[in-house]
Amino acid sequence: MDLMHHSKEEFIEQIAAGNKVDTGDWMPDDYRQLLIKQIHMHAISEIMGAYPEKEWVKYAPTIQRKLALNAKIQDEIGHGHMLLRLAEDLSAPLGRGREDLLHDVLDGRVKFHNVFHMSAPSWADAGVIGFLVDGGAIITQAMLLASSYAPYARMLKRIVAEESFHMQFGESVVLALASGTEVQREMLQQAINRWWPAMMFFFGPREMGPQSQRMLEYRIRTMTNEELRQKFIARYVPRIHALGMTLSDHELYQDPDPPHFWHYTDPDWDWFNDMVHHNTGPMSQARLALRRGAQEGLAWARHAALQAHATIDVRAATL
Amino acid sequence: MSLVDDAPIYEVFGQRDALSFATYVGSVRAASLELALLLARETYFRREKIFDMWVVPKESVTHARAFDATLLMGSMDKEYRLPSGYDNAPIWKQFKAQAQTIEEVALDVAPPARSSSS
Ligand SMILES: [Fe+2]
Ligand SMILES: [Fe+2]
Repeated sequence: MDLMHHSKEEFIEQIAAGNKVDTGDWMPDDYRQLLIKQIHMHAISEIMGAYPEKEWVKYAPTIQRKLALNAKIQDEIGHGHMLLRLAEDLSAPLGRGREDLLHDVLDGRVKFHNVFHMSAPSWADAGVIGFLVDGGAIITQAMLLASSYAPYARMLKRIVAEESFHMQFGESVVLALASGTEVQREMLQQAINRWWPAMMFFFGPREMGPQSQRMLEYRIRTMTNEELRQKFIARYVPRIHALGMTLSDHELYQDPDPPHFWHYTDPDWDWFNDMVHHNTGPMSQARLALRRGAQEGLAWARHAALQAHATIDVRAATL
Repeated sequence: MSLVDDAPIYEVFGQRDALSFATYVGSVRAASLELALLLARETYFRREKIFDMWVVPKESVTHARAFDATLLMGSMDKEYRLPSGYDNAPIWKQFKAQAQTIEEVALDVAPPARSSSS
């Protein structure tokens, strides 16, 4: 807290010593900017991440699956709101508020994860999203539990606890399909083929840019892109193979020598980069249209609710 | 009523360390916010080291129990919403693979235990 002195050098020293920064503490401008960029993008990705799964709610094969998928979507929207509150607190000194932060995605001022620009054409995709996308996101989010920004680390405790259900749900759908008919197994295989390259991109470039390097120095994050991707590959390749599924990456193999690095084919970096920076993915525009419908189409409802309550409070105060 | 009885009540919350959530511990009666903090420390945190304390005027706390529609009903089956509602381990075993838990993943990416501050 007020241990944080008003010099960048001492700030970095404090963080290196394991001290945490809280809302309202003094922080260097670039630390604040990096936090806003990270948490804003994280919040918006949680919200945009609900759309691919929402498509499958009405087609879910059983009532249990429907309830579970719906519950997962509610969680993701909830995660978006928890994180948005943190981004709001950080952005307040810069004169930017909640409506701005939500609008930014519509104006292309904030990105969201590549995986949520992709299409989910089968029920197996709904399962593989829980299995691989949540699986990958869990690795990243569990790493962030050690973040130097305490409000983020605390919120992630709650989020990771809920992700535990997402992981089990995704695996349950995938295991059911893998134990099913040839048609179901083929559907699962196709979905894995679709999502694997997107997951290789998910963790970011092999060489991190200067901003990500800064995030490591400030201990906003504690692992590199490649370290996280390696954890993911090591955890999921054996599981996918155990299911009798294949990965079409012919470069994929693990070095027999320590540190047992996993080799893999580069995803189409340019294609995915263009997708996240300019919303040119297969489903980018369709999902942004849904988001715009919610944000702009329901603006009247938000305002009406605020106004109705303002009236009630005034009446209570004058009684 | 005495002057003492006129003093407001503050609800007291304690936060054990930077990464824990503030927890409700009780209340104090005090003449000001500052005095409430002092009293809260003397009443509730005489021994344990505490990272932060909050005091909140009692009237500022709104209880959900006063508005019955806002609380979840206890008897509904929410198993589908919990990790325990899924028994994947035996199926992973049939595929000769190990089930995984989120705790293992968290351990796998936790930084080496160097930041054992406080
Ligand atoms: Fe989430
Ligand atoms: Fe999730």
